[in-house]
Amino acid sequence: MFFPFTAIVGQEEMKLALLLNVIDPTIGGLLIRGEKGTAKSTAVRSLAALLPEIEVVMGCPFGCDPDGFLCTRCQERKQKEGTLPREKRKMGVVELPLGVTEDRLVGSLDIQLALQTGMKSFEPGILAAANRNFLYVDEVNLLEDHIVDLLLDAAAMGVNTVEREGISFSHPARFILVGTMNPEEGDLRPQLMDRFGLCVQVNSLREREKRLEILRRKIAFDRDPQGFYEVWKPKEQELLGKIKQARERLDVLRVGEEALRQVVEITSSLHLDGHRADIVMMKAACALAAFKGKERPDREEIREVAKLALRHRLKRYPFEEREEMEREIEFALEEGKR
Amino acid sequence: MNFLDFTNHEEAKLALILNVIDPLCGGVIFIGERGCGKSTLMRLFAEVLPPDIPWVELPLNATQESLLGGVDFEVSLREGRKIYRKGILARAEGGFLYMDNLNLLPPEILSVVFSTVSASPPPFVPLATMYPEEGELSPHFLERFGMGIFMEGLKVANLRAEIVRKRTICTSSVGLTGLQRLIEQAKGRLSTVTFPSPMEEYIVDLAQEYNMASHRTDLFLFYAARAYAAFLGTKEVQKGHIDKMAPLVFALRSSSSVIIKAKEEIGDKPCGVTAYLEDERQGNAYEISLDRWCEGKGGKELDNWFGDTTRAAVGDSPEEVFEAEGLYELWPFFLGRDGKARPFSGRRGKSRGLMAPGRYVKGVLTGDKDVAVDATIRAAAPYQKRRGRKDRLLICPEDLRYKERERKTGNLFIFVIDASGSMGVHRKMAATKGVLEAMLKDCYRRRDRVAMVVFKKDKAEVVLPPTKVTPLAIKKLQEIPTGGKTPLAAGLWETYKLITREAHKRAKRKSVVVLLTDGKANQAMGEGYVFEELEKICELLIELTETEFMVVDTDPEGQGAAKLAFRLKGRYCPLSSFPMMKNSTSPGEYFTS
Repeated sequence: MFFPFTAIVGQEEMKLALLLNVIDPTIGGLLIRGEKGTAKSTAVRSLAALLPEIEVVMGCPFGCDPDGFLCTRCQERKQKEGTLPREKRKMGVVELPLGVTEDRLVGSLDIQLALQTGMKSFEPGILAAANRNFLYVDEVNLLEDHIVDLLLDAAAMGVNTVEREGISFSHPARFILVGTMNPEEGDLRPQLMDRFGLCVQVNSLREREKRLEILRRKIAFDRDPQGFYEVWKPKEQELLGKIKQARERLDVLRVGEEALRQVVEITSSLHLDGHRADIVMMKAACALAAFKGKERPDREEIREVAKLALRHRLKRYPFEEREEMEREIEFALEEGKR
Repeated sequence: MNFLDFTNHEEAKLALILNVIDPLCGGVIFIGERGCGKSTLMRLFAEVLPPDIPWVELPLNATQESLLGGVDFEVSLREGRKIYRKGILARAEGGFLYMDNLNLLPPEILSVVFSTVSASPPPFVPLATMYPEEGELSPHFLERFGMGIFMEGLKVANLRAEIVRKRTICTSSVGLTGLQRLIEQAKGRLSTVTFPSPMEEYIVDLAQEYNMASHRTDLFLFYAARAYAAFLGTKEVQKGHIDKMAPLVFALRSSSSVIIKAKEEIGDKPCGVTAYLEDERQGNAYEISLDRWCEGKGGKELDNWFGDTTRAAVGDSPEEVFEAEGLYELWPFFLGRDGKARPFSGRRGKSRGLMAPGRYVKGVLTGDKDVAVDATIRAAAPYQKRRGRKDRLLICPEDLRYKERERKTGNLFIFVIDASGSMGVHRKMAATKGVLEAMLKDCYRRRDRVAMVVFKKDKAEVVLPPTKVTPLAIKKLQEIPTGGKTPLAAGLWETYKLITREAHKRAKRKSVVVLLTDGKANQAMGEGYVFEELEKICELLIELTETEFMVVDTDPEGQGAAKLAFRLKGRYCPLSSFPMMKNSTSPGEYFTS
């Protein structure tokens, strides 16, 4: 039983960024920077529990989408049997522990099978488990560099291709990557930071009333999780409906020339390297427009997602305060208005 | 001796008891010096637990497999089928997981433990001890504990006398079985204890007053207060219960200044500090007198533990803070490749070995647990026919191959800085800081970890424990004041301790000690002669494995630094040999590359 997503007090920016990723998973994940004990992992788990079931190939350890890109095993099966049996399951949250090995992450040779039958077969790793789920990486800044590289490569390609120990296998690895980090314990390299679609900064809530509400809700939940859920069920259902609608609307959404121009103006005035910022910002604005039930994204949506898409891509200097960077974005937005 | 015989430390005992009553209290960590009874008390506590509650200790050499359980490759290969072992975490379910010397456990192990604890409800209650001087612990992990107790050894004579008295009181009344029954009763009462809503508000107000950032704090305090009320047999949680518990919950989450403030305000508040526990069978009452929190030198000690050591200067000679002067250039690979093979480095190179994380490179004949399956099968393949293979592969022990792994690791650079008065002469410190800054930037680009030790006047301190946050080092560097005598021996001694502490956690990693000094030692640590001390410490230092030394001489006219470099068998280079940069770029640009 998970704490209901809609019962999380405050942290609106984080919740929005997660929702946008759920509406359009190609946005490329979320990096959450911030203090301890601020409902980061709770938010991810509750959102996964809320989302509608997805259709998968029955018995496939990679959770292949029967109508989408298939793993090597499902491809062979489809050729042989013609159709693939389907089943439904919930989206889950797969956690990547610090100190994970490369074998564990990408998968390796299945020894049991190799020993018993002499056949070479692929034993799925964490990337396989993460396919079509959330992949949650706590303290992503403390991961070994070579693991982060592998992880982000797979995330970018949406495929995990394994060529090792005499095995040749590929399977889809499309997941919503959520990383958390405490900036006080060392930062991510800028080029890795850039690979996360959006970024939010979470702080603990200072207002007394909100804090009290958090405590009360958590106590009530600990006492009777099922009862607590029942109370929040209507809100959860409402949000679920909005997400479903937004996903449908996203397909028919149009992006005007005007909106594109606005995005580019903002990013070029900030002298950002690369084009990922533009693309992510546009996608996020579209997802937000779809969520709001609009025909097309305009200035309002672009402004709303700008910080999410830009704050981790600004050039940083050692002691530049976060506030200064936020102001820089504000400034660029104001410029764009005129 | 049993749990109740254990003298003093009543708060520590109470904290443990409350966690049996309600596991939602979130566990306890004891923080204190070696020999103050932390581990003893924990192990005595294990005896208090009813036999159906598991008590599992996490050994320092635990691996991820031993934590989570998993396939035992060695046995599996011999048997031809998967053999699973149950992990430590699974065995602790529904009970307590005890981690002795928490700060000596590698972070990747801790991250597995605490990601398990964060489930709701938590599968087990974490208990731990740590001696902060033996190694730092990320606040991220510390914060996962519900309560923290700062323990002190018992040194004062009259306190000991009091303990003898207390001891008699405790043992004469309820025994262990009595305590167990009290805990059982409290557990039963727990769900009936009411928590009035003004008390919830009081918790939030307190937490905010003491700047508790994490929302977990509020929740831990809630459960602690409720368990305490249940223990005392009160029907309703009162302000006094919360006041009593607040220090236990807050102490490990605050910066030292906040703790001292809290101590003054909460600690001295008249509240129900004395609780009477009734032993029904004997009809006697005995007293758990709850010592006042953080008494005596507590505040100062915490200050050191949390690394907030840049206190305002007090003392004889005037101190001066020099700003870094000049942008220096390091020769390429100045801190890196000097022609010597250095197997252990960050972007400076690669390290190979049998350590757990890292990329599998090849199979080797010797190793432990980490079986390289492909290589093993290849080794077994040629003999299958001769061994009479039928349906399954036949593996013999001599076929086993183990994985050699490779990973990029950063060095640890320890900068040992002479901040004595003589460094202020001719603004030597300003130039030194300039060179240091250049070195720190180099470390940043190569992802090394850095630490800083500063010595001046009569002592040395680690102003920056090992960290990857190099900008923080640069900030600390700017703040270092100059003044007083030159306790070089103390500086080297701190360095020695730092390296040995690190060796516990990260064996086989390379440390490079960069000493910036004029070598004019004139302050001994003890009663003896300055140079005798120096010689002894140098002997200790050169015996360290995987450690290199470099002395940057800030006053080449003197001979002290050159001699030091000779004794340490390290490199020597005068400060003046560092070239200044011609086209200075903004210092910030290093951090964007």
